[in-house]
Amino acid sequence: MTLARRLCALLDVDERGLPARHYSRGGLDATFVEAVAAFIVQDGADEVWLRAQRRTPAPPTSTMAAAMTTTAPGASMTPASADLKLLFEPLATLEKRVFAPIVAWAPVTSPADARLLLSFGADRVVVDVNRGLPDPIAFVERIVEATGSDRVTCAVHVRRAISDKGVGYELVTPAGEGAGIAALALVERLPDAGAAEILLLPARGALEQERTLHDGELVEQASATLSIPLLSHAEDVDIADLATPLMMGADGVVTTLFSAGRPSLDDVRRALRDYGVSLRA
Amino acid sequence: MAPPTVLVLDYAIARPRRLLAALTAIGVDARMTDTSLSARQADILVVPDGDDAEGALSRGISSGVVDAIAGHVARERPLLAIGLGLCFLLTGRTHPAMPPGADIFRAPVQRFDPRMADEGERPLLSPHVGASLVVGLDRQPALRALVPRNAPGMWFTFRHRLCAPARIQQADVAVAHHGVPFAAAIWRGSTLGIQFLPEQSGPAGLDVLRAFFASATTSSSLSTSSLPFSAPRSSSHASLLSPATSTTTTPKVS
Repeated sequence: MTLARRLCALLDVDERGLPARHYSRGGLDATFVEAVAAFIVQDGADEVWLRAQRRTPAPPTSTMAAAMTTTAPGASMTPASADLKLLFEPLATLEKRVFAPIVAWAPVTSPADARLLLSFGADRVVVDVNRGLPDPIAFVERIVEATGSDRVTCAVHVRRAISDKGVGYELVTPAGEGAGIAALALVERLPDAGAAEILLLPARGALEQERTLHDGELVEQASATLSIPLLSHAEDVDIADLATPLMMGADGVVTTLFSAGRPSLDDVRRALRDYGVSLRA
Repeated sequence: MAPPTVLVLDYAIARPRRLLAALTAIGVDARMTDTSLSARQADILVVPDGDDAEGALSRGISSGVVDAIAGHVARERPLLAIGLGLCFLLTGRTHPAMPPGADIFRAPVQRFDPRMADEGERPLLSPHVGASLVVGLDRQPALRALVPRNAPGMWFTFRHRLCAPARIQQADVAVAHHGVPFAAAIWRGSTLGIQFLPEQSGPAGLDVLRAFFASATTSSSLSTSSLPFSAPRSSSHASLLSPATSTTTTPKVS
């Protein structure tokens, strides 16, 4: 196995354009996104992902009012275009200083949004496919047509659903409800729509569950037939959280675990190798 | 002595932005050119990666691009071809709509077969995206010093559907593996083709660019004085806080 599993460092960017979490490493504090990203890449992260994650709601304007809202767990309801702008400056800076793939994750609601993020320096953009309901495939096709190939990562928000056929997986709407679309069937169709890779986001399970967790079974089923990379994201708090998707067939994980400086990439790689996960040296 | 003229050859489906930023970061003053005539002025020519999807290749590119490459190599000047750029050095066409390759390396362009399975019995990922181990760069004169002693190879970032075979007549090859072995780097004389993307491979990728330009400058008897890319690489965390970046950090107060 010479293609390594990917460790993608996810940095949340707040309304000031700064990292949402404080980063401290080796006696140095980094307070700006580019400094954090540079540290993380130097430490060996395979990719840097930036996600617009406002901590306070943006003031609505007349033009923004109709826009869709953020769906990240715990995020406030904010105009999508305002969140998109949070990434412009960090992307422009990172493009010149960070030499690893840069992925932008903001509320993309149109091909123009995706092109904007790419024009500011992103190598790929994350498209939450549930923003394209009722026809997420057509939504992705429109965006890929505008961005070109290899530029769109499709984020699929999924929850377990029980039907008369047994336990399955269902796409979740931006409001957190079931969309009535079989998630695995959707995932199988996304490569033909032009998706460069797929990011699985399991929804929070039982009410008492405090955070989202990777779903190993979902990863295993989705990856079995895919010929494009499959990534998984959840609210990780421990190195062991990353092992499940990587051992069940994910090509990489997207995690905020590195965004505070601890644990280090070295710690994570060492621990994951103990689980038998193939990672680059 | 004047610094070398470094030109990055643009073509319709090229993706040179990150490469230009990386060259700037290592102190190489590179300019874009999109004509074979102006490419003749290059002391060092760089052919960047491009979009190798079916839709992009079907649009085609000017045959002048390949002519510029062939002319530069014929003048025995240093050339670095990256990603899709490497495929332009091969024999034959990358697509019926594309011009024939420059035939600098006698090998056909190959494509990953999605009907193949990987080691985990999954369909082979196409394009090949991510970090893969490159073995054999320790035989490349300009790059051998970068390969850590006792390491099996170096890891670099790839994104491609097309590739060159792992065995090429009258050329040296470093190999990577994705379902099948393929050429991650090919070289002969002052011509170097690399399938991986140095501009997306972190510090190791920048080291490759530095080493190539230091070697190319020396081999072409150009001035090496005051060339920033010949400076030793830095890898400490403190070095990340360059003057531009240091304004964005604050000392830790305990």
